[in-house]
Amino acid sequence: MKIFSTDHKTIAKQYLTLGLFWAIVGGLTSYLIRWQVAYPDTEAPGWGFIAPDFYNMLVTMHGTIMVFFVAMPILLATFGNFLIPLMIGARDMAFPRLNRLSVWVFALASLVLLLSFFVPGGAASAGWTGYPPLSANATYTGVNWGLNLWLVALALEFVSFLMGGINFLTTTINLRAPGMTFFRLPLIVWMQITAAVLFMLSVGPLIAGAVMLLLDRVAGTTFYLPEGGGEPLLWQHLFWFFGHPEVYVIFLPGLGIVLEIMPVFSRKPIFGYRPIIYSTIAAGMLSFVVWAHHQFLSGMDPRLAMPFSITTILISVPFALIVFAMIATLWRASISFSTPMLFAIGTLSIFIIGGLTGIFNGSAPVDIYIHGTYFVVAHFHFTLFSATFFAGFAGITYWFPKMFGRMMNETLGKIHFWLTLIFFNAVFIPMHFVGLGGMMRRIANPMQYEFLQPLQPTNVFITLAAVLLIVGQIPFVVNFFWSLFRGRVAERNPWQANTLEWSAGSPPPHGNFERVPVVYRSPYEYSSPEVVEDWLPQDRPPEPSTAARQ
Amino acid sequence: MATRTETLTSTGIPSGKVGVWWFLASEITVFGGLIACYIVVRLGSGGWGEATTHLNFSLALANTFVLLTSSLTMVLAFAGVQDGSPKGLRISLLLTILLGLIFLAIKAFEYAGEIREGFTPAAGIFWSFYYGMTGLHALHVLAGVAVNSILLIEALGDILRPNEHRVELAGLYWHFVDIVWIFLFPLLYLT
Amino acid sequence: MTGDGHRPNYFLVWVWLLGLVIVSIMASLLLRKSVAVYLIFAAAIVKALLVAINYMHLKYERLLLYALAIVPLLIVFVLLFALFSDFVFHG
Repeated sequence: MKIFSTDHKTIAKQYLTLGLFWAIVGGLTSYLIRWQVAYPDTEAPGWGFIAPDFYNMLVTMHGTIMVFFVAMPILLATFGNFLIPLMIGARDMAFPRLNRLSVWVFALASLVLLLSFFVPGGAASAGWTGYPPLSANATYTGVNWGLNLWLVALALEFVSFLMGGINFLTTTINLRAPGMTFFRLPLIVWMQITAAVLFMLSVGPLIAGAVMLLLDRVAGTTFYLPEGGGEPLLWQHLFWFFGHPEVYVIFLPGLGIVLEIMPVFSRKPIFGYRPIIYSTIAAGMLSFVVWAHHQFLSGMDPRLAMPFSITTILISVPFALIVFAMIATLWRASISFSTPMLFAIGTLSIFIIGGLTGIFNGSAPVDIYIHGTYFVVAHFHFTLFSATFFAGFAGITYWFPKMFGRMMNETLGKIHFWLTLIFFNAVFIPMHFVGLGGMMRRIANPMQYEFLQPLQPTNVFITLAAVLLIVGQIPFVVNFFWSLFRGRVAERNPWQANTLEWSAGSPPPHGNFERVPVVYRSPYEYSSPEVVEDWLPQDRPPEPSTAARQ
Repeated sequence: MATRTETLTSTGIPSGKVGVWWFLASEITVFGGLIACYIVVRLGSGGWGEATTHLNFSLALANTFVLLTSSLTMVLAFAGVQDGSPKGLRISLLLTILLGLIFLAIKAFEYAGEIREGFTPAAGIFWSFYYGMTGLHALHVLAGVAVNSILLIEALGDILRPNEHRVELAGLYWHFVDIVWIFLFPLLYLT
Repeated sequence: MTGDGHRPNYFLVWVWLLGLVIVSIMASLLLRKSVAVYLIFAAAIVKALLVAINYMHLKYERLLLYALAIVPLLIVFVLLFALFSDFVFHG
């Protein structure tokens, strides 16, 4: 039975299924949030009235679901599980049974989170960031078991991804095919293992902190409660110490997807392979020392503001380098605008805008005005949406033939892309101005504040665009399911790409390769002078004459 | 000399060992994070010197000897594997398990005493950290005892042989748990 | 496989560990608090290193495993230093 499979490809699809399920739930929360903001205290079509407590729960669960139950399972677990063994020439992960356990634990985490919606008091409502004292005492939110289950679900999710991280790292370190040196690895593999390292090393303090919060809630401890000698601010440090590397954990795989797709549809090698790797490592290291930029207004020691502003601005440098490398890859290239390529370029453009607004947020003096406003919301939706959705769609449309043995429909794909691009921008660009106009995050009724009332037409516009954005996902859903059963049967290498997964069948069988490949070159030898074709797979033996030259 | 087949790895380090060390790396940040919080909150709030006087120093000292000795027996178990001595392996594993159980028993006895005197987890911030840190550590000891017990059962049933390297891996985890206690003991009982 | 002929003297290490425990206790009983603290934690660090290098066989392992032990510690120290400013010095 497939559910007991230890095959990394099956496990990847199990993660994808769970992630897509939660994407629908997360989308529902965003619809209800936007409805309430645009038309406060009216009945949302298809749902009903949204009470203020319920609204708090919506914004909390929207964040929790999108970060931990959509982005991580799809970007990290699906693509990492599916691609890493194939791309390094291995037959499976280093620990297949641990892999199976990790997806089961994630399924259990999903169940616990789902359950939290139905307990008395409802699901967690203290923000996805769960700051105490609000989150530490059930009487403050009226949510008791919902928040406890939230903590348990997150703990299980962390355990699942720790297991996954152990697998990704050990597999990449130890199971590479002959000739697959570290500097011949596809960039997405580098991104996945950097993301895994970041996760493994940053989640610990939050696990400690979450245990402390749970104990405060159920055992009467006072880690975060001032009346017992505790420190509420401590949670913020623990949360963001993990929270900041976490956003790069989510972002890097998306970046990797774009870096794989661009050379293929430009028929050009990636520009700056090694600088990209070094920048990624530098960004990863820096990501551990920027976290307090989330806390400029928390009341923490003001002397921390300057060092953290400096590190935050600094971290934009390696990412800028990667952006320039991508642009240079596209420069004078022979580009084919297939659906994967459209989404890849879309990811790049959306990310550039998100990265630019990050500079505003990262500078403490500016952040004093924009912290806690919709400007921040716009910023992180540009960065996260590009990494999760645009890159996710790019990856799904690109690797669908390899995963499912069928091609997706290009026309539906292009329609989906343009609808998503247009309506995404329609939702989130105006949101910057709403934020600069002073609108605070997480409030259920902007009309209660006189100074926000002039912004309401913009809020209504954003909501309508959001509804259209959600509707614009229908072509994708149709395309996905239709192609699963009726898509054109895919050949081994429909995109004429170089990386090792395209040497295996579509889809690959158990054990992936008929014979373990031997690797002779880097993954990006497109338009190589050595051969007539404009592509040159990593595992094709060199011609005798070129072998002599090498 | 016990023989076993070993799959070829790109680095020459067995995959199981790489995996366990990555696990330990993350555990270092869990306990390190918790301990870092304890240090700063304690230093920032007047020292909690009074609270620590209610701890049972002698029991903790006994536990320290118990755990340090169990690390010795654990590494001797692995030596038993390397020397091809099934008897040495089984005896050392059994001792390690027993010492682990003794640690847990002493800890439970210690907790019971403290709770009887009214020092529950809700008794203040020092006690929050005390129960949090030692409790999390004790759970890890329990998990280690469970893993070692499984290995002992397999060794007794003579089905461990193809997987004897697991004794080394279980040992790495056990020593890590010991190292955490090496720091918890002075942090809680000696300062 | 580790060791392969080389093996630390596990009993000797154990004796050192117990000795260091005793030293720590004497320090806490006999010395001034401010001095004893340094000695106690230095002893703890030495004990941890003894266990890591000898019982966990780090002495015989490759750089990768050392890195896996050291890098997380560095990260914990980063957290510790930042927290110091916020909770100990009450900026």
